[in-house]
Amino acid sequence: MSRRLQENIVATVVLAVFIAYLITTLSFGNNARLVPLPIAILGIVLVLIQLVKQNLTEKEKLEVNILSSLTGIKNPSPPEEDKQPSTPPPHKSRREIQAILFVIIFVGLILLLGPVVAVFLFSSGFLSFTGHYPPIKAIWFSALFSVALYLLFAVALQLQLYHGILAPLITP
Amino acid sequence: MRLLLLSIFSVCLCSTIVRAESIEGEVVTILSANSAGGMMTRYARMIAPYIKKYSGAADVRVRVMTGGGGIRGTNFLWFSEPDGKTIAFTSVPSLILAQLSGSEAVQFDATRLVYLGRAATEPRVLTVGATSSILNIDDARTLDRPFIFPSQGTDEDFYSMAVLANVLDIEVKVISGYDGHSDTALAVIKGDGDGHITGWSASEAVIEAGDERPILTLSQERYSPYPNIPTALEVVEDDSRQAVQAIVNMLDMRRGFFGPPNLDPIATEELRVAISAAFNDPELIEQSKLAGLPLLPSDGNIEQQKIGQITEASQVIVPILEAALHAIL
Amino acid sequence: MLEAIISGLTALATPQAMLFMIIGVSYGLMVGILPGLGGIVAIALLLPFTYGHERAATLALLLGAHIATIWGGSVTSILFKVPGAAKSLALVFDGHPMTQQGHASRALGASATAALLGGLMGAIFLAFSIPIVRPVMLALGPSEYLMMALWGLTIIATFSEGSLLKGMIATSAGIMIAYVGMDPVSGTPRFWFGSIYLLDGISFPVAMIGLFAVAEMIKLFVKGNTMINRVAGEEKSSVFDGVKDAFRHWWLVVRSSLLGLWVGVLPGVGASVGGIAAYAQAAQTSKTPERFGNGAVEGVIAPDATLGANEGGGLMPTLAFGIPGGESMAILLVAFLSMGIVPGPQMLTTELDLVFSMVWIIVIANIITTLIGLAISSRLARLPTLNPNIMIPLVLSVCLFGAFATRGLVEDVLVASFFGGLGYVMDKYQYSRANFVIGMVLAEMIERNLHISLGLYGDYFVLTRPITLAMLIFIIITTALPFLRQQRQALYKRFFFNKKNKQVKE
Repeated sequence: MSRRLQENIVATVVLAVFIAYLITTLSFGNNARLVPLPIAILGIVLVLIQLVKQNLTEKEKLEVNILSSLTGIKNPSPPEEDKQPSTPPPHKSRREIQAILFVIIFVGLILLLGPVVAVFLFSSGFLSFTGHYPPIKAIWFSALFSVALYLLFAVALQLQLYHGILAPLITP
Repeated sequence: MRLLLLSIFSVCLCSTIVRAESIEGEVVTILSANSAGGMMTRYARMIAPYIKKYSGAADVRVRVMTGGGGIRGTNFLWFSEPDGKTIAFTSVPSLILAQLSGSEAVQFDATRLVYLGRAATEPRVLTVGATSSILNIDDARTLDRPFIFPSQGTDEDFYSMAVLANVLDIEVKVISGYDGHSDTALAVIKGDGDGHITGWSASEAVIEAGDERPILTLSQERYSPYPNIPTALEVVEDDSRQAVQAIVNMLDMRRGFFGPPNLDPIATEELRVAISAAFNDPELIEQSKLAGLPLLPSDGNIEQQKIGQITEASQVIVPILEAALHAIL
Repeated sequence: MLEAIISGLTALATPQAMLFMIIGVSYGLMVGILPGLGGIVAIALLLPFTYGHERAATLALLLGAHIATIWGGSVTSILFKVPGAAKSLALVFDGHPMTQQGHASRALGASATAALLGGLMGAIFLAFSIPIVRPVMLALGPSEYLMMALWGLTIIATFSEGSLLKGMIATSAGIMIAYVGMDPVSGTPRFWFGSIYLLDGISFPVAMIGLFAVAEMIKLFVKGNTMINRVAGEEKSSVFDGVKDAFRHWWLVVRSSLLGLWVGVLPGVGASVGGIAAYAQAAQTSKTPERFGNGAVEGVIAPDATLGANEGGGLMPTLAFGIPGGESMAILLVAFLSMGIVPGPQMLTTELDLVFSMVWIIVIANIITTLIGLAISSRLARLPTLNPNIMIPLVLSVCLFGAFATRGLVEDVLVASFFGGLGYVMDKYQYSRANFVIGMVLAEMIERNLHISLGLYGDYFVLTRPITLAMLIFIIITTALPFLRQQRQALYKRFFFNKKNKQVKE
């Protein structure tokens, strides 16, 4: 998928969100929509201009530095790490999907089992999956880390812990 | 390895054990539906340790959930589990008034909430700025421009002012959006607003300092430290008295603890007993005097009976409340 | 006054007061470093332990903890691009690029020193500005607060993350998200889709944890490399370079401290806005604004000095009127009342020694925080070089725990992860996350104060309120300043270039 197509998809989604926002805003009273309504309109106008610009302008000119547009000076070079490579590294999409999956799994574990158990399972799983530690060491490390977090948040900071959706199943 | 498995099992167990019904050994959260520095939250924080002391709860914590003049926190409570682990503390009249006004935001039915005890009540007072040309309530009535009323939203003071304005024929311009009573007080001191309504305890320091002047109280009788300030009931015509009386009765319920509908009977009883015992604790009584947060407790059972009667009698002011809300939408 | 200054200090010269101060500062640093938790949590948790101790010691514990959370929040902003609290947001803009360039120690040193200098100057200015606090508070109103919020908004033009259009779209989206929940003016529920969770609005720290922390961890996993491209020990500068930076930019520190002091004094403005406004003034008055967003040390110094000075300012309305300058001050007010301290104008006359005790606490707590900070900075600076396989589970766990801890709601974990995905997409397609967050921070302040200003002063309030008008002109000038300066430089270069060419031809 080309960069331009990706940009267009993102802009279209943003446009759809702004339109939905605008429609919802119209159902409010005058006071409640005094600020949200103009913001929604502004958002729609900006996204439309962005869509037109990114389809009529060459790619290099799309990512104009704000200061440059204000001052007319040449773009300062961004930090080395932030530079977008001209071609994406191989397997980048796969790693993106993996990363998103990791976050989803972690959040799922928190919802099911509560944060302490989820941290233990996620950390040990992640450390084993990446091969950073052998499984036994990963479990040890994760157990210590989970206990440390439990002591910090639940004991020292007196946080009332969430026990997870599965808690009632094992509740006496 | 066994040690490791044991520690893992312990951590899992620690984080999953839950109990139901009784609040003993549980952590009880009191939702304070008003601002973090406001009187309500100060009351809640002051009383919470004593509820813990008499309830057997592992802890009683205060969680501030500001918004919409108490509606946000009460809506949240309405959908909470009725296990006694979440209760609320706010201005009960605000809730009744918001419900009567037909506010879209209200998701609860105030008559179905379970009342656990009143901590305090105090007269509400209409104050004006010290430099204002308004010296008494008659000046406000004869003003040749609208009376500017800074408000933090749709709270009981907003609705009280709407009723007062209606029965006293005062043209009021409500400026809503202020961030709590401290913000409305500053607006009145500055002269941005003509007057605002607060509790006596919140206004007393400002009045004593000479920054504000009281002109009217919303109470059954005159407030003893300020015997020259008339009550709203004294200044209204007979035919309007019913509306003002409804508001004054409602304001009398003021600072109360309550739980979600169908609150577990065991938890209800435990909480009512604990709250009642807390109010009789000499240490709390002493602390309340020191902090300037006077207590005037009432039992939860009595408050539960009052709520139905008040809501019924308040139907007379419903059109006024609806009109007031409509005006700021 | 001198007598009050001395007796204020001697009240703190007890073993209990000093011990409480050290405990408070250490505890505050720990809470500050945890994302999602800040000074409010620190004070609220300490509150039950404050009864029955010396008055000065209790104040030292509470204020000391509160002061220390500020620098704690800056640390994670600089090192991990994870703002510990909303007010530390501005530290992300230049602090993290400095870390990426191998100047983490220098950034931490500059941050700690600027916070100290800000705190000291805030305390000194506070002592001298006591007589004028009241008139200033009374002179400024909602329309001026609105201008202050708009000033904060002008900073969106300073970021070089993406295009101007995308930056503005991100800001609009941030404002849009901030309006989820109950309208503060009419109580109308907005964009809540029948969800009681959404009725409470999207928690700002939670969104920030997602947008920055979770998104950065996703990015790190995709990149498969360390957070910064260097190995431990290859720091290009030291903590003391940062210390020197803070002193070298003394005028910026003075300006930012004054700004912080007054942002604190004015109830309803808030330190989050102060940090952003400080960054804006630093960028807009800089001779080299193009360095901002790319690791300019001034971008670290200005917000930290403002945050350091802010706390002293916040005490003023709390003590003088009983009107808290912010949420943490509101909790402090509870502590004051339980200690028998009754706020009011008399605090600035008959109880002046107590006020100076607090000023001294701010000074001493700042010194202790900075000393600890400088001592640990070089070790902290190595953290971003950790292997990503270790860093990802650690940071993700702490951040999602922090998201949950913010309000004790598990839904916040879901929201943080949603914003994590959103942050990653925004970063990839260069919709500025910083602009999104700035929009979110300023949205409510803009809405509240716009409504009140229109109601009180009419549709043309900008023209009828002289201070508001002056502030608007100031905003326009400071926004246009970098543009004018660069135009002048361009003209200058063109003139000399032409002249040189002519000479060469001749």
